[in-house]
Amino acid sequence: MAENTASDYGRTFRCVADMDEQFSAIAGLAGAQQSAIHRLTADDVLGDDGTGSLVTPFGYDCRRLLGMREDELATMPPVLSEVLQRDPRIETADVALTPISRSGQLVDVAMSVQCTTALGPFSFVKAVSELTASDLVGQS
Amino acid sequence: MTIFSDLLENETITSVRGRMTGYAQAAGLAITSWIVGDPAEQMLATFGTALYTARQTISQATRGFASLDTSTDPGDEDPYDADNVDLPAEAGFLSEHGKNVHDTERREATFATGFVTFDNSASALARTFSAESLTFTWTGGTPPSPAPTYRNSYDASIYTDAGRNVTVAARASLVIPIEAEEVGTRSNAGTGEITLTTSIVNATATNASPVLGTDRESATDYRERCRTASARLSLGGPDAAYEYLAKTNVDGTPLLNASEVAVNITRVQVSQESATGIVDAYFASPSGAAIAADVTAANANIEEQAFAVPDAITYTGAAATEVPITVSGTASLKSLPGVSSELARQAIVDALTAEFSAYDIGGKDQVAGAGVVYTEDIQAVAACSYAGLYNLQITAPSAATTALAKGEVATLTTATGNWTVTLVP
Repeated sequence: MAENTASDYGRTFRCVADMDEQFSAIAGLAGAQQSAIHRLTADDVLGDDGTGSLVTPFGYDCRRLLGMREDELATMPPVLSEVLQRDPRIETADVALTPISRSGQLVDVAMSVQCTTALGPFSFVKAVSELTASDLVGQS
Repeated sequence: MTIFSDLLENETITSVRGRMTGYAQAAGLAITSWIVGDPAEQMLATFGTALYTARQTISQATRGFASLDTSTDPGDEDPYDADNVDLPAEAGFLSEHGKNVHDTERREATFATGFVTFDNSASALARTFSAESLTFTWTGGTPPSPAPTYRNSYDASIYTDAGRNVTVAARASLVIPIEAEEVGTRSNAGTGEITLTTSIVNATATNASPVLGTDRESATDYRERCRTASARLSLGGPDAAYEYLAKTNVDGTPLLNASEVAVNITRVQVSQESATGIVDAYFASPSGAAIAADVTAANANIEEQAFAVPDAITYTGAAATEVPITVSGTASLKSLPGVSSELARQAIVDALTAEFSAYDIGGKDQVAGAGVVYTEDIQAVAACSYAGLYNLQITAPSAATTALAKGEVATLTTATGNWTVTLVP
């Protein structure tokens, strides 16, 4: 199965944490942004890339950022940038990570993501706790 | 391809997904390409994986009961499933097929058992130990790696107290049974090769006789026993009845010899002298003549059954007579990375060993039970044993055939030193 070209991003289900009852769809740049979030919340996916080749690793589960030492956290933006650019629609990806502390304890990490695509740029700023549902099954 | 032949073969996951995509497109859905990890693509991947898993189960079940040849147990070579041989050996479709259709049980692997002499003669103190508290290890000769280990197994006549303990007096020794901790022939050790590993001051132990176990019966041998199982229904004593009873009890369980070890008889020849009322049977193992204990067990089992040995029949069963055939030769091999003369020679020896283990008692083209072994057949097997071998010539035996009389079984005498494989640049 061929990959989507940059000029034809197609349609898919709207689904970050969950789909809605109507199985609503999204298209174009919104789909690319949704896929970028998926790359940052799942290590692996089921199946292959359509040619029989396994897709491993697919992404990076950002929950692993929680509890990282600051010096180690500082090395992660290029890693996440490379993960995002595994999506052929994403041409560039800039990632900034900011630890969020309360009472001296690291409680969350804010991710600022800016990407460019052939259909234009998109960006989002979300904390790890916003991206991942607490009842998600843990990644292996 | 028929529906049935389709069911025998495993379908690949790629084929399953392709069909699902085709169904979706036939339903009018505009799907021609996918983004990996996309929710819609992952839903298709989920259903595809579920279908694939169900499809494999159907194929395996079909093969399991279609025939003995397509049916396998985990751990067997399976021409339809390359991963099956890597699974832990256990009962599966083949064992169930054999038991339920042919009333014949597959012989499972056994733990190597034997005896060691616990020697406390150098100690002024008595030693007390319980069953399964001591560890022994195969240390002599050339043990496999990691070396097999054994425990002192329980015997009510030795470990007599309530705590299953035994006391060996000072300056004394005691023969105790041991059992391997790993099932199968990997733990088979020769005389004097096992020693005490548990540290006990001034105490030692070793085995005065081999410690032996068996591997699971090969799928090939088991299928053969299943095929001859119907001979139990005979009332006329045909050949197949003797073949079956030489290695299997009437109830389908493997025949055991006096040492409680399954008989290692894989080949049987039965004479055809019905006019005289004399029936002679000859027995062989994969490596040559059957051992005396196996012959005794086979004869007792055969003679018990009136359908195999009717009244007015004089039956005699004996071990086949070995006829050693020394095989040697030369061959050439293109010198390439990974190609080795030593590996080629070993492959020749292994292939010939397997070939000879299947030769009928009496050989081929038998007349009144006497036949031959063709040197050309030996050459053909050796020539196909290692990829790239060419110009393989047999230097021994020099004759075109080796004659075997009734009751004689060919045994192979060859080693890597009997073969010259020349690497050609």
